Amino acid sequence: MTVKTIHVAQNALNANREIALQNRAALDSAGVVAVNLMASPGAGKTSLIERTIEELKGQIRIGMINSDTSPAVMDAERAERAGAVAVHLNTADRCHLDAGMIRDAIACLPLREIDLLFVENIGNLVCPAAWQLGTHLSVLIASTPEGDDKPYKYPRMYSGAEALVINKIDLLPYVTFNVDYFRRGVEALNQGLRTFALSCRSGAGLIPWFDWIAFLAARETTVLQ
Amino acid sequence: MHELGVVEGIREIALSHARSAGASRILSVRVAIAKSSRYLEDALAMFWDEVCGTSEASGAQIEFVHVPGEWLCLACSKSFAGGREVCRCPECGSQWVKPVDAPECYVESIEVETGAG
Repeated sequence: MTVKTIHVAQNALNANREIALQNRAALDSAGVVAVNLMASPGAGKTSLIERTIEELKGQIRIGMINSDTSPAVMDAERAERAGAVAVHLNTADRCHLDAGMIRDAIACLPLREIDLLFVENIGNLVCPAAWQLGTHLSVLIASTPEGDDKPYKYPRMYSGAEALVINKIDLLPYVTFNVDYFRRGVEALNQGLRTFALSCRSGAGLIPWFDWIAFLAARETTVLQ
Repeated sequence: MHELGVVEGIREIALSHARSAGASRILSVRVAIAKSSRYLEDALAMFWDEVCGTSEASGAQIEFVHVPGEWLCLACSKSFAGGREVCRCPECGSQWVKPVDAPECYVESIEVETGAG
């Protein structure tokens, strides 16, 4: 027996990044555009997915990977009832999705029968930002009752997103949410971030979001790299 | 709980290097962690034995070495070294500071046992 030291010098997150790249390749080869949806609990991730499926199911085939920290499958069932193919990931108390979980979930999905895949991350404004999944885009959902200071308090989440949804705009008259203050915070972190202000409940502002999702689903995945 | 995922990453990196070297067992893993890291060393150590299970890393020690964390002052643009407790720029006193997005936790080296002489 010989003992020897091997020099490694590798970021601890590299192992995750490798799997994320494999996930991306699997999605690309099946022609699936994948969107990582991140938000705090209760911001409306599932509601937005549900509304989008209901609106677009005649045009595009939508899949959904739901995640929660428990076996509660109700969100995946909501997506199924709306007309998507869905799978539920129980992270068993883990605070974010990682690439390995997505690899397992996409193995359960008929990828060739899906144009657009929503990945609903764990409701959390901290940890999901650090973990690549292999999805093409990250969309952050803020909601007006959370308050207008969230970009200032959770900068990493805002700086890493490719699009932002401000949900529950129908509640603006009832909550303290200064849209200008919020937007200034977002602009400082992520200049020109594509933003959709809408309400899943009232339906206000949903059309531009639907159009964008339909546009994404029609793209060649390689254009989104 | 994100330390659990980080520790799994450390295990995967260690196993892949050990297997490439034809090692039969990993004795120890040396992990460098920035003083400004979000990851808590105690939590990483807590999950280590659990994630190594029955793999070649089972029983391996995890050792930490600390490297300085780099911070940036968003008010005066000065960068400075510091730990997690940093909340003020030493230059201008502003609290508008953030850790520089550098790898904050990496596997520096592993010690392995090989069958060959």
